[in-house]
Amino acid sequence: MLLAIFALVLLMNLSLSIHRVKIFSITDSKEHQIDLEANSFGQSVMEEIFYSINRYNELDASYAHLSDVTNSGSRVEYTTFFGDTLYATVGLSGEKLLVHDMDGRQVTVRVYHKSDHNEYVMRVEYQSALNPIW
Amino acid sequence: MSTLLDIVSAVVIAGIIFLLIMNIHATMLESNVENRMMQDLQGMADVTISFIQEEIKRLTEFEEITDSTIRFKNTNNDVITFERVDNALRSYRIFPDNSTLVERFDNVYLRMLRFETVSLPGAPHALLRIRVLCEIENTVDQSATIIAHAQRDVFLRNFYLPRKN
Repeated sequence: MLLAIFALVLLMNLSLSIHRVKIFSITDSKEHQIDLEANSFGQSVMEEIFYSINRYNELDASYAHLSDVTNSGSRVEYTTFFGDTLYATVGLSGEKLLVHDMDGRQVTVRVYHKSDHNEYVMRVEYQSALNPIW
Repeated sequence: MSTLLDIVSAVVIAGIIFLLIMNIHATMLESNVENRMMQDLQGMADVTISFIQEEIKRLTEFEEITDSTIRFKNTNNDVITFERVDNALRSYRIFPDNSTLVERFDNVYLRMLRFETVSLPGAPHALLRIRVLCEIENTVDQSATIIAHAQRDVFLRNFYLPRKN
């Protein structure tokens, strides 16, 4: 009788292990997918900002308000092909001396994903320099 | 008699446990294979986008753009075409001296390749949106396929910004 109970417990334990392995595997793949999508989304936002260089004096008006990931009006949103939502914020520094002795502004793009615990977790951060080229 | 029954039942239970352990190993291996396939395919979609992006950055003039093909002139005056042929990505490059270079990338498992211009305020074709969908047969579960998707916008800096003469 004891042996039978032991076997049953072992069987349940093994069954749970199988499910855990499968769940970890799926979660791992999904996280990888989100990382890559966040990477592409961050680059896309940065590319749009590069276009704005021809309106260098209007950078604040275009992007300064995109600084709060928790506020839907202060972030850029993108829904991936698989239905996950990513959020991007844009940070602009003041005028300062950048690399190669050029004056300009430093721009930081951060991409977040909302975790299961409703926390915004940063997945990607890009930094670049903007110079008035005209 | 009861001793015999105990021995037989112990052997049967040991056999069941052995089978279960083997089953777990098989499931873990299958999960690993599936996981690896998904990550590889996602990486493949991302690399395909990056590869096209690097060429698109040097675009100076559109020659033809459909939703699945793009032909353009770059800063070296090469005419470059990207298109999907079956499940492969094909790039076709014509140099200014009319010599050509054709490259075919078969291992990207392309299911879809999309090009779309994106307009921004005051700029009709400021960005080019590239979308890639890769699909591969799932070797673990034959009834399903594994899909990966990547999308990226590229600022057409050489098309848009004034060129120094």
